[in-house]
Amino acid sequence: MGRTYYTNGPTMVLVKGRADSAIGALSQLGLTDSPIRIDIDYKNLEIQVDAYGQVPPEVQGMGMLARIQMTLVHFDATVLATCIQEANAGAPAEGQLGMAGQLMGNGLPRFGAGGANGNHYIGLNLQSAIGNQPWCFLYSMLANNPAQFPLGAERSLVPLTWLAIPYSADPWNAGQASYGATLYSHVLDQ
Amino acid sequence: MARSFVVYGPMLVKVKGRFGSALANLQELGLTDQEIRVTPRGTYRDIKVDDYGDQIPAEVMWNLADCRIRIRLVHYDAVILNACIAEAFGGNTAGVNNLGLDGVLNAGGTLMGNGYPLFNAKNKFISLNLIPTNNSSQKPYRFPTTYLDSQPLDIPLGSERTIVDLSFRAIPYGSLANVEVTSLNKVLWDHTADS
Repeated sequence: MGRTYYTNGPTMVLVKGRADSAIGALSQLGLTDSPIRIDIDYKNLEIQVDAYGQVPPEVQGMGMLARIQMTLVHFDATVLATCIQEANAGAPAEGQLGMAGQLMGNGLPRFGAGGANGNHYIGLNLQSAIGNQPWCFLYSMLANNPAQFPLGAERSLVPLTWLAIPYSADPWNAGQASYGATLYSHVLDQ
Repeated sequence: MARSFVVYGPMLVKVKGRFGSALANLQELGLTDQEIRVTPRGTYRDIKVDDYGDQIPAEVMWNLADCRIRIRLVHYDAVILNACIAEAFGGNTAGVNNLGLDGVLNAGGTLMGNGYPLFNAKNKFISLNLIPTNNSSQKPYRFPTTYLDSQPLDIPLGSERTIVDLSFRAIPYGSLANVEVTSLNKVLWDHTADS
């Protein structure tokens, strides 16, 4: 792939979640009023050696996670409500809480059913309208705190922050540990 | 071997115990939330000579060593942990399989090894294995004769994930097996994992 100007174009936000939830099938969440921002947060641990003073001669890679920020302007409020429920580890209804301490993944694979004990991570898909590479964050959840819902005569612009982590049902992964764990890909969910 | 930074990487804790127990086969105990601390402790006795005064020894006698392995389990098999606790409490006598009997004590004065070899049905010591990942260049650690020594053994119960803070103690146990008890060449740890 050679150099070029990169334009993602208008982006449709799609979500897919727990098989027995309202977003068990790939669902349109909506369109944004401004560019979606993806922040990939690399984690590193510096190794200090006295002989190098205050700068490290070596650094350890310690994984990464991502935050995806967007402001919805044309969206499906029902789908958004389901995303909020799942962010509460599978709350029974909008506006209600999940069980305190409930795990988000519950040791299940993606979209694993099970009600409150299912896998509550959401596949966050960003689809380019002009056919450029899509983004799919396999295990994400709404994480902005506080969440804001402006209500008034003007159209509501709802800012969202998603947190994507490299979830694994088994962190040991047959001796591979985090090696190869997927944070995101460029293949949309179906 | 030249100098380098030593990184063991993530370690999986596995245990194996006596025949007929829940630990008869090598079992995964779990993963930790931070590093595993291995602390060998050699013991020595000073030999004083009047000519050297009363503070500094003229010679030191080696008196063997034990080892503490501090582990904080975060992703673990609670059934296997309960079996380790049951063995540490003398090994339950009720039934061959000690699942679910972690709070039941054996009689006071019960010997842990009983003079039997490792993994014998009457030897309550546990072989503790620390296994590095497939990508690690480091070798595993195996402590053949250990027990949970309750220093500490903390099991918090609440809304947050339970992190079990525990300590295994390894001693250089030797079975009787038709020989005298001698300390020569006793193994406190080696680098060959159980299978």
